Amino acid sequence: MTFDELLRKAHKSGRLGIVGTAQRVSSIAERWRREGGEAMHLKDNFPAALDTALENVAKGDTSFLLLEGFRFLDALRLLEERVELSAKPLVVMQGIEVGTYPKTLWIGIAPHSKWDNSSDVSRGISMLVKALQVLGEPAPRVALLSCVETVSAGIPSTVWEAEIAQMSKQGQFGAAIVDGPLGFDLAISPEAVRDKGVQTRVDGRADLLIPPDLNTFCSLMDALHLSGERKSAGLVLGAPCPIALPWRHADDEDMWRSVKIANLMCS
Amino acid sequence: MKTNGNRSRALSSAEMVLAKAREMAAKRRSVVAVAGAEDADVLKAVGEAHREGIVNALLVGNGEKITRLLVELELDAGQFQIESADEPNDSAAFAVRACTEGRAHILMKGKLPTPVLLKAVLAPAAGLRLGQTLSHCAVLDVPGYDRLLTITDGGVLVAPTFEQKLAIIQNAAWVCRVLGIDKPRIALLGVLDEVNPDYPATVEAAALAQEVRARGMAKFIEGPLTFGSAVRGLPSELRRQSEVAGKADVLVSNNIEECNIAAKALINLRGAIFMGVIAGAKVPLSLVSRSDPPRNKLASLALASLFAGEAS
Repeated sequence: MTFDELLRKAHKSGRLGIVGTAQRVSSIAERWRREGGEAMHLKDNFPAALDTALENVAKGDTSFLLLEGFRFLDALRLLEERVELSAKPLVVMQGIEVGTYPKTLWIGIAPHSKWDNSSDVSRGISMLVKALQVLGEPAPRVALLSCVETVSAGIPSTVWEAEIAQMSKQGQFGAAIVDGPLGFDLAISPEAVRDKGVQTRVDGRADLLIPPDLNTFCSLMDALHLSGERKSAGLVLGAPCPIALPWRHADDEDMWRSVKIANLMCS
Repeated sequence: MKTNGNRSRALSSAEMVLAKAREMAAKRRSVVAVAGAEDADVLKAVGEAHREGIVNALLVGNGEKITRLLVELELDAGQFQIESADEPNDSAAFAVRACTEGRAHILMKGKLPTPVLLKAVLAPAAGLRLGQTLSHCAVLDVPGYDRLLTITDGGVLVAPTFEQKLAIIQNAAWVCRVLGIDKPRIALLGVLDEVNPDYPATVEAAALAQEVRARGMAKFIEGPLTFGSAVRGLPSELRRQSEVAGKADVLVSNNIEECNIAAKALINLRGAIFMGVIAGAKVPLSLVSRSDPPRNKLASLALASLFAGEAS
Protein backbone atom coordinates (compact mmCIF):
# COMPACT_ATOMS: atom_id res chain seq x y z
CA MET A 1 0.00 0.00 0.00
CA THR A 2 1.30 3.46 -0.90
CA PHE A 3 -0.14 6.95 -0.52
CA ASP A 4 -0.57 7.24 -4.29
CA GLU A 5 -2.64 4.06 -4.35
CA LEU A 6 -4.74 5.33 -1.47
CA LEU A 7 -5.34 8.72 -3.04
CA ARG A 8 -6.49 7.05 -6.24
CA LYS A 9 -9.12 5.21 -4.20
CA ALA A 10 -10.26 8.26 -2.24
CA HIS A 11 -13.86 9.48 -2.44
CA LYS A 12 -14.61 12.92 -3.73
CA SER A 13 -17.52 13.68 -1.48
CA GLY A 14 -18.27 14.10 2.18
CA ARG A 15 -18.61 16.99 4.57
CA LEU A 16 -15.28 18.12 5.92
CA GLY A 17 -15.15 20.18 9.11
CA ILE A 18 -11.94 22.15 9.53
CA VAL A 19 -10.75 23.42 12.88
CA GLY A 20 -7.82 25.77 12.48
CA THR A 21 -6.88 29.34 11.78
CA ALA A 22 -3.90 29.06 9.50
CA GLN A 23 -4.20 30.42 5.98
CA ARG A 24 -3.20 27.10 4.49
CA VAL A 25 -6.29 25.49 5.99
CA SER A 26 -8.43 27.75 3.81
CA SER A 27 -6.69 26.44 0.75
CA ILE A 28 -7.43 22.87 1.87
CA ALA A 29 -11.11 23.77 2.20
CA GLU A 30 -11.08 25.30 -1.26
CA ARG A 31 -9.30 22.28 -2.72
CA TRP A 32 -11.83 19.92 -1.14
CA ARG A 33 -14.72 21.92 -2.58
CA ARG A 34 -13.11 21.82 -6.02
CA GLU A 35 -13.06 18.02 -5.73
CA GLY A 36 -16.83 18.08 -5.20
CA GLY A 37 -16.99 17.87 -1.41
CA GLU A 38 -18.37 20.28 1.13
CA ALA A 39 -16.17 22.01 3.69
CA MET A 40 -16.93 24.09 6.75
CA HIS A 41 -14.04 26.10 8.16
CA LEU A 42 -14.40 26.95 11.87
CA LYS A 43 -12.06 29.80 12.68
CA ASP A 44 -12.87 30.34 16.37
CA ASN A 45 -10.31 29.60 19.03
CA PHE A 46 -9.52 25.93 19.28
CA PRO A 47 -11.69 24.63 22.13
CA ALA A 48 -14.76 26.52 20.95
CA ALA A 49 -14.25 25.54 17.31
CA LEU A 50 -13.70 21.93 18.28
CA ASP A 51 -16.91 21.93 20.31
CA THR A 52 -18.85 23.28 17.34
CA ALA A 53 -17.24 20.76 15.01
CA LEU A 54 -18.14 17.84 17.27
CA GLU A 55 -21.71 19.12 17.59
CA ASN A 56 -21.88 19.17 13.80
CA VAL A 57 -20.61 15.61 13.69
CA ALA A 58 -23.25 14.52 16.22
CA LYS A 59 -25.97 16.20 14.13
CA GLY A 60 -24.72 14.45 11.00
CA ASP A 61 -23.69 17.72 9.36
CA THR A 62 -20.01 16.79 9.21
CA SER A 63 -18.58 13.42 8.25
CA PHE A 64 -14.89 13.95 9.03
CA LEU A 65 -12.58 16.58 10.49
CA LEU A 66 -9.20 18.22 9.97
CA LEU A 67 -7.42 19.66 13.01
CA GLU A 68 -4.58 22.01 12.19
CA GLY A 69 -2.41 24.68 13.73
CA PHE A 70 -2.34 23.30 17.25
CA ARG A 71 0.29 21.41 19.10
CA PHE A 72 -0.18 17.74 18.47
CA LEU A 73 -0.59 16.51 22.04
CA ASP A 74 -2.64 19.56 23.08
CA ALA A 75 -5.06 18.83 20.26
CA LEU A 76 -5.38 15.21 21.35
CA ARG A 77 -5.83 16.12 25.00
CA LEU A 78 -8.64 18.56 24.20
CA LEU A 79 -10.23 16.03 21.91
CA GLU A 80 -10.15 13.39 24.62
CA GLU A 81 -11.73 15.76 27.12
CA ARG A 82 -14.62 16.32 24.75
CA VAL A 83 -15.18 12.87 23.35
CA GLU A 84 -16.93 10.26 25.39
CA LEU A 85 -14.68 7.28 24.95
CA SER A 86 -16.08 3.81 25.47
CA ALA A 87 -13.76 0.87 25.93
CA LYS A 88 -11.80 2.13 22.94
CA PRO A 89 -8.84 4.44 23.40
CA LEU A 90 -8.18 7.41 21.14
CA VAL A 91 -5.55 6.15 18.73
CA VAL A 92 -3.13 8.07 16.54
CA MET A 93 -1.96 6.65 13.25
CA GLN A 94 0.78 8.46 11.36
CA GLY A 95 1.98 7.27 7.97
CA ILE A 96 5.23 8.12 6.29
CA GLU A 97 6.87 7.26 2.99
CA VAL A 98 10.59 7.56 2.47
CA GLY A 99 12.48 6.46 -0.60
CA THR A 100 14.27 3.71 1.29
CA TYR A 101 11.15 1.68 2.12
CA PRO A 102 8.85 0.28 -0.56
CA LYS A 103 5.49 1.12 1.01
CA THR A 104 3.78 3.43 3.47
CA LEU A 105 5.02 2.82 6.98
CA TRP A 106 2.36 3.52 9.59
CA ILE A 107 3.18 4.21 13.22
CA GLY A 108 0.47 3.94 15.84
CA ILE A 109 -0.11 4.62 19.51
CA ALA A 110 -2.87 5.55 21.93
CA PRO A 111 -1.08 8.58 23.39
CA HIS A 112 -2.93 8.95 26.63
CA SER A 113 -4.11 5.45 27.37
CA LYS A 114 -2.22 3.11 29.65
CA TRP A 115 0.08 1.96 26.87
CA ASP A 116 1.96 -0.44 29.07
CA ASN A 117 -0.08 -3.56 29.39
CA SER A 118 -1.28 -6.07 26.89
CA SER A 119 -5.03 -5.49 27.22
CA ASP A 120 -4.91 -1.73 26.55
CA VAL A 121 -2.42 -2.13 23.76
CA SER A 122 -4.32 -4.99 22.13
CA ARG A 123 -7.45 -2.81 21.92
CA GLY A 124 -5.43 -0.08 20.22
CA ILE A 125 -3.80 -2.52 17.84
CA SER A 126 -7.17 -4.01 16.89
CA MET A 127 -8.37 -0.52 15.91
CA LEU A 128 -5.23 0.15 13.91
CA VAL A 129 -5.44 -3.20 12.14
CA LYS A 130 -9.07 -2.55 11.19
CA ALA A 131 -8.10 0.87 9.86
CA LEU A 132 -5.39 -0.62 7.66
CA GLN A 133 -7.86 -3.22 6.41
CA VAL A 134 -10.32 -0.44 5.50
CA LEU A 135 -7.50 1.27 3.63
CA GLY A 136 -6.91 -1.91 1.62
CA GLU A 137 -4.32 -4.04 3.42
CA PRO A 138 -6.14 -7.29 4.31
CA ALA A 139 -3.30 -8.83 6.36
CA PRO A 140 -1.18 -6.02 7.77
CA ARG A 141 2.18 -6.87 9.29
CA VAL A 142 2.54 -5.21 12.68
CA ALA A 143 5.90 -4.90 14.44
CA LEU A 144 5.98 -4.32 18.19
CA LEU A 145 9.15 -2.28 18.59
CA SER A 146 11.76 -2.59 21.29
CA CYS A 147 15.52 -2.44 21.55
CA VAL A 148 15.96 -6.21 21.78
CA GLU A 149 14.33 -9.30 20.33
CA THR A 150 14.26 -11.32 23.52
CA VAL A 151 11.87 -11.01 26.44
CA SER A 152 13.52 -9.43 29.44
CA ALA A 153 11.87 -8.60 32.76
CA GLY A 154 14.18 -5.58 32.94
CA ILE A 155 12.58 -4.12 29.80
CA PRO A 156 8.83 -4.21 30.57
CA SER A 157 7.71 -3.51 27.00
CA THR A 158 9.28 -6.77 25.85
CA VAL A 159 6.99 -8.65 28.23
CA TRP A 160 3.70 -7.18 27.02
CA GLU A 161 4.90 -7.22 23.42
CA ALA A 162 5.52 -10.96 23.68
CA GLU A 163 2.03 -11.39 25.15
CA ILE A 164 0.52 -9.49 22.22
CA ALA A 165 2.52 -11.59 19.75
CA GLN A 166 1.13 -14.70 21.42
CA MET A 167 -2.42 -13.30 21.08
CA SER A 168 -1.74 -12.83 17.38
CA LYS A 169 -0.63 -16.44 17.01
CA GLN A 170 -3.92 -17.44 18.61
CA GLY A 171 -5.83 -15.45 16.00
CA GLN A 172 -6.94 -12.49 18.11
CA PHE A 173 -6.08 -10.00 15.36
CA GLY A 174 -7.62 -12.00 12.52
CA ALA A 175 -5.50 -12.04 9.39
CA ALA A 176 -3.03 -9.49 10.74
CA ILE A 177 0.47 -10.67 11.64
CA VAL A 178 1.56 -9.09 14.91
CA ASP A 179 5.04 -9.91 16.19
CA GLY A 180 7.48 -8.63 18.77
CA PRO A 181 9.52 -7.59 20.53
CA LEU A 182 11.50 -6.55 17.47
CA GLY A 183 14.32 -4.09 16.94
CA PHE A 184 13.59 -1.37 14.39
CA ASP A 185 15.89 -2.90 11.80
CA LEU A 186 14.16 -6.27 12.01
CA ALA A 187 10.80 -4.57 11.48
CA ILE A 188 11.74 -2.91 8.22
CA SER A 189 14.66 -4.81 6.73
CA PRO A 190 14.45 -8.38 5.36
CA GLU A 191 18.25 -8.26 5.08
CA ALA A 192 18.62 -7.52 8.80
CA VAL A 193 16.27 -10.44 9.57
CA ARG A 194 18.43 -12.73 7.44
CA ASP A 195 21.75 -11.39 8.79
CA LYS A 196 20.69 -11.74 12.42
CA GLY A 197 19.01 -15.09 11.87
CA VAL A 198 15.92 -14.04 13.83
CA GLN A 199 12.62 -15.84 13.25
CA THR A 200 9.92 -13.23 12.79
CA ARG A 201 6.62 -13.42 10.97
CA VAL A 202 6.83 -9.72 10.15
CA ASP A 203 9.96 -10.60 8.16
CA GLY A 204 11.26 -7.04 7.77
CA ARG A 205 8.16 -5.94 5.86
CA ALA A 206 6.09 -4.11 8.48
CA ASP A 207 3.07 -2.04 7.53
CA LEU A 208 2.59 -0.77 11.06
CA LEU A 209 5.06 -0.07 13.85
CA ILE A 210 3.96 0.01 17.48
CA PRO A 211 6.47 1.88 19.66
CA PRO A 212 6.70 0.96 23.34
CA ASP A 213 5.77 4.40 24.70
CA LEU A 214 4.78 7.95 23.81
CA ASN A 215 8.31 9.38 24.12
CA THR A 216 9.54 6.82 21.61
CA PHE A 217 6.62 7.46 19.29
CA CYS A 218 7.32 11.21 19.19
CA SER A 219 11.09 10.85 18.76
CA LEU A 220 10.63 8.22 16.05
CA MET A 221 8.23 10.45 14.14
CA ASP A 222 10.59 13.42 14.41
CA ALA A 223 13.57 11.30 13.36
CA LEU A 224 11.75 10.15 10.24
CA HIS A 225 10.84 13.76 9.43
CA LEU A 226 14.37 15.05 10.04
CA SER A 227 15.67 15.41 6.52
CA GLY A 228 15.36 14.15 3.02
CA GLU A 229 12.33 13.59 0.85
CA ARG A 230 9.23 12.17 2.47
CA LYS A 231 5.47 12.16 2.32
CA SER A 232 3.29 11.82 5.38
CA ALA A 233 -0.28 11.73 6.62
CA GLY A 234 -1.89 11.46 10.03
CA LEU A 235 -5.19 10.26 11.43
CA VAL A 236 -6.95 9.96 14.77
CA LEU A 237 -9.20 6.95 15.33
CA GLY A 238 -11.70 6.28 18.09
CA ALA A 239 -13.43 9.68 17.95
CA PRO A 240 -17.03 10.03 16.67
CA CYS A 241 -15.66 10.49 13.15
CA PRO A 242 -12.32 10.07 11.37
CA ILE A 243 -9.99 12.99 12.04
CA ALA A 244 -7.08 14.17 9.92
CA LEU A 245 -4.28 15.29 12.24
CA PRO A 246 -0.97 15.67 10.42
CA TRP A 247 2.35 15.49 12.25
CA ARG A 248 3.85 18.74 13.51
CA HIS A 249 6.29 19.08 10.60
CA ALA A 250 3.67 18.45 7.95
CA ASP A 251 3.55 20.55 4.80
CA ASP A 252 0.46 21.44 2.76
CA GLU A 253 0.58 18.23 0.75
CA ASP A 254 0.84 16.15 3.92
CA MET A 255 -2.25 17.92 5.21
CA TRP A 256 -4.15 17.32 1.98
CA ARG A 257 -3.12 13.66 2.01
CA SER A 258 -4.35 13.35 5.61
CA VAL A 259 -7.73 14.79 4.62
CA LYS A 260 -8.13 12.40 1.70
CA ILE A 261 -7.21 9.35 3.77
CA ALA A 262 -9.47 10.42 6.66
CA ASN A 263 -12.24 10.65 4.09
CA LEU A 264 -11.50 7.08 2.98
CA MET A 265 -11.97 6.01 6.58
CA CYS A 266 -15.56 7.33 6.48
CA SER A 267 -16.61 4.34 4.40
CA MET B 1 28.12 20.47 2.73
CA LYS B 2 28.14 20.35 6.50
CA THR B 3 28.78 23.77 8.02
CA ASN B 4 28.91 22.49 11.59
CA GLY B 5 27.84 25.83 13.04
CA ASN B 6 31.13 27.37 11.88
CA ARG B 7 33.12 25.57 14.57
CA SER B 8 36.50 25.09 13.00
CA ARG B 9 37.94 22.32 15.20
CA ALA B 10 34.85 20.17 15.36
CA LEU B 11 34.49 17.07 13.23
CA SER B 12 31.19 17.19 11.39
CA SER B 13 31.03 13.98 9.36
CA ALA B 14 32.02 10.31 9.43
CA GLU B 15 34.48 11.08 6.64
CA MET B 16 36.20 13.63 8.88
CA VAL B 17 36.31 11.10 11.73
CA LEU B 18 37.99 8.59 9.41
CA ALA B 19 40.47 11.19 8.16
CA LYS B 20 41.34 12.24 11.70
CA ALA B 21 41.75 8.59 12.75
CA ARG B 22 44.15 7.97 9.83
CA GLU B 23 46.10 11.12 10.69
CA MET B 24 46.46 10.06 14.33
CA ALA B 25 47.33 6.48 13.40
CA ALA B 26 50.12 7.72 11.16
CA LYS B 27 51.83 8.96 14.32
CA ARG B 28 50.82 6.11 16.60
CA ARG B 29 48.50 3.30 15.72
CA SER B 30 46.10 2.17 18.47
CA VAL B 31 45.64 -1.48 19.31
CA VAL B 32 42.14 -2.90 19.55
CA ALA B 33 41.71 -5.89 21.86
CA VAL B 34 38.86 -8.03 20.58
CA ALA B 35 37.24 -10.29 23.17
CA GLY B 36 35.64 -13.33 21.54
CA ALA B 37 37.34 -12.66 18.22
CA GLU B 38 36.08 -15.87 16.60
CA ASP B 39 33.41 -13.91 14.74
CA ALA B 40 33.62 -13.38 10.99
CA ASP B 41 31.85 -10.00 10.99
CA VAL B 42 34.06 -8.59 13.70
CA LEU B 43 37.20 -9.91 12.03
CA LYS B 44 36.10 -8.37 8.76
CA ALA B 45 35.66 -5.00 10.48
CA VAL B 46 39.00 -5.23 12.24
CA GLY B 47 40.70 -6.37 9.02
CA GLU B 48 39.25 -3.40 7.16
CA ALA B 49 40.31 -0.95 9.89
CA HIS B 50 43.80 -2.47 9.81
CA ARG B 51 43.93 -2.22 6.02
CA GLU B 52 42.86 1.42 6.28
CA GLY B 53 45.77 2.00 8.64
CA ILE B 54 43.59 2.92 11.61
CA VAL B 55 44.29 0.15 14.17
CA ASN B 56 46.37 -2.89 14.97
CA ALA B 57 44.59 -5.79 16.61
CA LEU B 58 44.96 -8.25 19.47
CA LEU B 59 42.52 -11.07 18.80
CA VAL B 60 41.47 -13.01 21.90
CA GLY B 61 39.32 -16.14 21.78
CA ASN B 62 39.40 -19.60 20.27
CA GLY B 63 42.74 -19.39 18.49
CA GLU B 64 42.01 -22.23 16.10
CA LYS B 65 38.70 -20.75 14.99
CA ILE B 66 40.18 -17.26 14.70
CA THR B 67 42.99 -18.50 12.46
CA ARG B 68 40.57 -20.49 10.31
CA LEU B 69 38.25 -17.50 9.89
CA LEU B 70 41.15 -15.21 8.99
CA VAL B 71 42.12 -17.63 6.23
CA GLU B 72 38.53 -17.82 4.99
CA LEU B 73 38.34 -14.03 4.94
CA GLU B 74 41.66 -13.85 3.11
CA LEU B 75 43.22 -11.83 5.92
CA ASP B 76 46.88 -12.32 6.78
CA ALA B 77 46.98 -13.88 10.24
CA GLY B 78 50.56 -12.71 10.60
CA GLN B 79 49.37 -9.10 10.84
CA PHE B 80 47.54 -9.72 14.09
CA GLN B 81 48.41 -10.87 17.60
CA ILE B 82 46.30 -13.88 18.55
CA GLU B 83 45.76 -15.04 22.14
CA SER B 84 43.85 -18.23 22.91
CA ALA B 85 41.13 -18.11 25.57
CA ASP B 86 38.24 -20.44 24.86
CA GLU B 87 35.81 -19.46 27.62
CA PRO B 88 33.98 -16.12 27.19
CA ASN B 89 34.86 -15.01 30.73
CA ASP B 90 38.56 -15.74 30.13
CA SER B 91 38.48 -14.06 26.75
CA ALA B 92 36.90 -10.94 28.23
CA ALA B 93 39.29 -10.88 31.18
CA PHE B 94 42.34 -11.23 28.92
CA ALA B 95 41.24 -8.46 26.57
CA VAL B 96 40.43 -6.19 29.52
CA ARG B 97 43.81 -6.92 31.08
CA ALA B 98 45.54 -5.98 27.84
CA CYS B 99 43.81 -2.59 28.06
CA THR B 100 44.67 -2.19 31.75
CA GLU B 101 48.32 -2.91 31.06
CA GLY B 102 48.41 -0.47 28.16
CA ARG B 103 49.02 -3.12 25.49
CA ALA B 104 45.67 -2.28 23.92
CA HIS B 105 43.80 1.01 23.74
CA ILE B 106 40.35 0.00 22.52
CA LEU B 107 38.18 -2.86 23.71
CA MET B 108 35.93 -4.51 21.18
CA LYS B 109 33.14 -7.02 21.65
CA GLY B 110 33.26 -10.12 19.50
CA LYS B 111 31.31 -13.34 19.88
CA LEU B 112 30.41 -13.21 23.54
CA PRO B 113 27.46 -11.82 25.48
CA THR B 114 27.68 -8.07 26.14
CA PRO B 115 27.06 -8.48 29.91
CA VAL B 116 30.13 -10.75 30.15
CA LEU B 117 32.32 -8.06 28.67
CA LEU B 118 30.76 -5.22 30.69
CA LYS B 119 31.23 -7.25 33.88
CA ALA B 120 34.91 -7.68 33.10
CA VAL B 121 35.28 -3.96 32.38
CA LEU B 122 33.52 -2.96 35.61
CA ALA B 123 35.40 -5.44 37.84
CA PRO B 124 37.32 -3.28 40.34
CA ALA B 125 40.46 -5.34 39.82
CA ALA B 126 40.45 -4.50 36.10
CA GLY B 127 41.19 -0.90 36.91
CA LEU B 128 39.26 0.41 33.91
CA ARG B 129 36.49 2.11 35.85
CA LEU B 130 36.49 5.85 35.95
CA GLY B 131 34.08 5.74 38.88
CA GLN B 132 31.17 6.62 36.67
CA THR B 133 28.47 4.84 34.77
CA LEU B 134 29.04 3.25 31.37
CA SER B 135 26.70 4.41 28.63
CA HIS B 136 26.35 3.97 24.90
CA CYS B 137 26.64 6.86 22.48
CA ALA B 138 25.47 6.56 18.88
CA VAL B 139 27.28 9.23 16.88
CA LEU B 140 25.35 9.72 13.65
CA ASP B 141 26.26 11.43 10.42
CA VAL B 142 22.75 12.28 9.23
CA PRO B 143 22.33 13.51 5.65
CA GLY B 144 20.96 17.05 5.75
CA TYR B 145 22.02 17.80 9.33
CA ASP B 146 24.97 20.16 9.51
CA ARG B 147 26.84 18.43 12.34
CA LEU B 148 27.36 15.03 13.91
CA LEU B 149 24.44 14.03 16.13
CA THR B 150 25.14 11.99 19.25
CA ILE B 151 22.12 10.11 20.63
CA THR B 152 22.37 8.41 24.00
CA ASP B 153 21.79 5.91 25.64
CA GLY B 154 20.41 3.24 23.33
CA GLY B 155 22.60 0.38 24.40
CA VAL B 156 23.46 0.05 28.08
CA LEU B 157 21.12 1.65 30.64
CA VAL B 158 17.52 0.50 30.24
CA ALA B 159 15.70 3.10 32.33
CA PRO B 160 18.37 5.40 33.71
CA THR B 161 17.85 7.12 37.03
CA PHE B 162 18.40 10.86 37.51
CA GLU B 163 21.98 10.25 38.67
CA GLN B 164 22.66 7.86 35.82
CA LYS B 165 21.38 10.46 33.37
CA LEU B 166 23.92 12.91 34.77
CA ALA B 167 26.60 10.32 34.00
CA ILE B 168 25.15 9.79 30.52
CA ILE B 169 25.43 13.53 29.89
CA GLN B 170 29.01 13.55 31.19
CA ASN B 171 29.94 10.64 28.92
CA ALA B 172 28.30 12.30 25.92
CA ALA B 173 30.22 15.50 26.63
CA TRP B 174 33.42 13.42 26.65
CA VAL B 175 32.51 11.97 23.25
CA CYS B 176 31.92 15.49 21.97
CA ARG B 177 35.31 16.65 23.26
CA VAL B 178 36.95 13.84 21.32
CA LEU B 179 35.05 15.07 18.25
CA GLY B 180 36.46 18.55 18.82
CA ILE B 181 33.25 20.01 20.24
CA ASP B 182 34.27 21.76 23.44
CA LYS B 183 30.89 23.27 24.23
CA PRO B 184 28.33 20.77 23.02
CA ARG B 185 24.71 21.78 22.72
CA ILE B 186 22.75 19.16 24.65
CA ALA B 187 19.01 18.54 24.37
CA LEU B 188 17.13 16.51 26.96
CA LEU B 189 14.28 14.94 25.07
CA GLY B 190 10.61 15.24 25.94
CA VAL B 191 7.31 14.95 24.12
CA LEU B 192 6.85 18.71 24.52
CA ASP B 193 9.15 21.73 24.58
CA GLU B 194 7.72 22.84 27.92
CA VAL B 195 7.30 21.27 31.33
CA ASN B 196 3.94 19.61 31.73
CA PRO B 197 3.23 17.39 34.76
CA ASP B 198 1.02 15.18 32.57
CA TYR B 199 4.24 14.04 30.87
CA PRO B 200 6.71 13.16 33.66
CA ALA B 201 9.73 13.03 31.36
CA THR B 202 9.35 16.76 30.70
CA VAL B 203 9.57 17.47 34.44
CA GLU B 204 12.70 15.35 34.80
CA ALA B 205 14.32 16.92 31.75
CA ALA B 206 13.92 20.40 33.23
CA ALA B 207 15.32 19.26 36.58
CA LEU B 208 18.27 17.60 34.86
CA ALA B 209 19.07 20.69 32.84
CA GLN B 210 19.04 22.76 36.01
CA GLU B 211 21.29 20.31 37.82
CA VAL B 212 23.79 20.12 34.97
CA ARG B 213 24.01 23.90 34.82
CA ALA B 214 24.35 24.12 38.61
CA ARG B 215 27.24 21.65 38.54
CA GLY B 216 28.87 23.44 35.63
CA MET B 217 28.89 20.23 33.57
CA ALA B 218 27.78 21.88 30.32
CA LYS B 219 27.16 25.42 29.18
CA PHE B 220 24.49 24.74 26.58
CA ILE B 221 21.88 22.33 27.84
CA GLU B 222 18.13 22.55 27.51
CA GLY B 223 15.19 20.35 28.34
CA PRO B 224 12.61 19.35 27.67
CA LEU B 225 12.95 19.68 23.93
CA THR B 226 11.27 17.46 21.40
CA PHE B 227 13.57 15.60 19.02
CA GLY B 228 12.18 17.75 16.22
CA SER B 229 12.82 21.04 18.02
CA ALA B 230 16.32 19.94 18.99
CA VAL B 231 17.33 19.39 15.38
CA ARG B 232 15.00 21.73 13.45
CA GLY B 233 14.35 24.62 15.85
CA LEU B 234 11.51 25.58 18.14
CA PRO B 235 8.00 26.09 16.77
CA SER B 236 7.44 29.78 16.13
CA GLU B 237 4.52 30.03 18.56
CA LEU B 238 6.82 29.39 21.52
CA ARG B 239 8.60 32.70 20.91
CA ARG B 240 11.60 31.93 23.07
CA GLN B 241 15.31 31.98 22.42
CA SER B 242 17.29 28.77 22.57
CA GLU B 243 21.01 28.05 22.36
CA VAL B 244 20.27 24.39 21.64
CA ALA B 245 17.14 24.09 19.50
CA GLY B 246 17.92 23.50 15.86
CA LYS B 247 21.61 22.93 16.48
CA ALA B 248 21.85 20.14 19.03
CA ASP B 249 25.02 18.06 19.14
CA VAL B 250 23.62 15.63 21.72
CA LEU B 251 20.17 14.21 22.33
CA VAL B 252 19.64 12.51 25.69
CA SER B 253 16.67 10.15 25.55
CA ASN B 254 14.39 9.06 28.34
CA ASN B 255 15.04 5.37 28.04
CA ILE B 256 16.97 2.83 26.02
CA GLU B 257 14.10 2.11 23.63
CA GLU B 258 13.50 5.70 22.59
CA CYS B 259 17.17 6.16 21.74
CA ASN B 260 17.68 2.79 20.10
CA ILE B 261 14.58 3.01 17.91
CA ALA B 262 15.07 6.64 16.82
CA ALA B 263 18.75 6.01 16.00
CA LYS B 264 17.96 2.86 14.02
CA ALA B 265 15.26 4.75 12.11
CA LEU B 266 17.86 7.34 11.07
CA ILE B 267 20.35 4.62 10.14
CA ASN B 268 18.00 2.30 8.30
CA LEU B 269 15.62 4.72 6.60
CA ARG B 270 17.46 8.05 6.49
CA GLY B 271 20.92 6.88 5.43
CA ALA B 272 22.71 8.01 8.59
CA ILE B 273 26.21 6.63 9.11
CA PHE B 274 26.48 5.15 12.59
CA MET B 275 29.49 5.23 14.88
CA GLY B 276 28.89 3.54 18.22
CA VAL B 277 30.95 3.62 21.36
CA ILE B 278 30.44 2.79 25.03
CA ALA B 279 31.93 5.59 27.09
CA GLY B 280 32.68 5.92 30.79
CA ALA B 281 35.66 3.59 31.17
CA LYS B 282 39.35 4.37 30.71
CA VAL B 283 39.23 2.88 27.22
CA PRO B 284 36.47 3.13 24.64
CA LEU B 285 34.41 0.03 24.14
CA SER B 286 33.36 -0.71 20.58
CA LEU B 287 30.35 -2.84 19.70
CA VAL B 288 29.35 -3.57 16.15
CA SER B 289 26.21 -5.38 15.12
CA ARG B 290 26.15 -8.18 12.57
CA SER B 291 23.68 -6.21 10.50
CA ASP B 292 25.77 -3.01 10.48
CA PRO B 293 27.05 -2.27 6.99
CA PRO B 294 30.86 -2.33 6.64
CA ARG B 295 31.13 1.48 6.50
CA ASN B 296 29.48 1.74 9.93
CA LYS B 297 31.77 -0.86 11.47
CA LEU B 298 34.82 0.93 10.10
CA ALA B 299 33.56 4.31 11.25
CA SER B 300 32.89 2.92 14.75
CA LEU B 301 36.46 1.71 15.06
CA ALA B 302 37.75 5.01 13.71
CA LEU B 303 35.77 6.86 16.38
CA ALA B 304 37.11 4.57 19.11
CA SER B 305 40.65 5.18 17.91
CA LEU B 306 40.14 8.92 18.42
CA PHE B 307 39.44 8.27 22.12
CA ALA B 308 42.55 6.16 22.35
CA GLY B 309 44.55 8.96 20.75
CA GLU B 310 43.18 11.49 23.21
CA ALA B 311 43.99 9.34 26.21
CA SER B 312 47.60 8.80 25.18
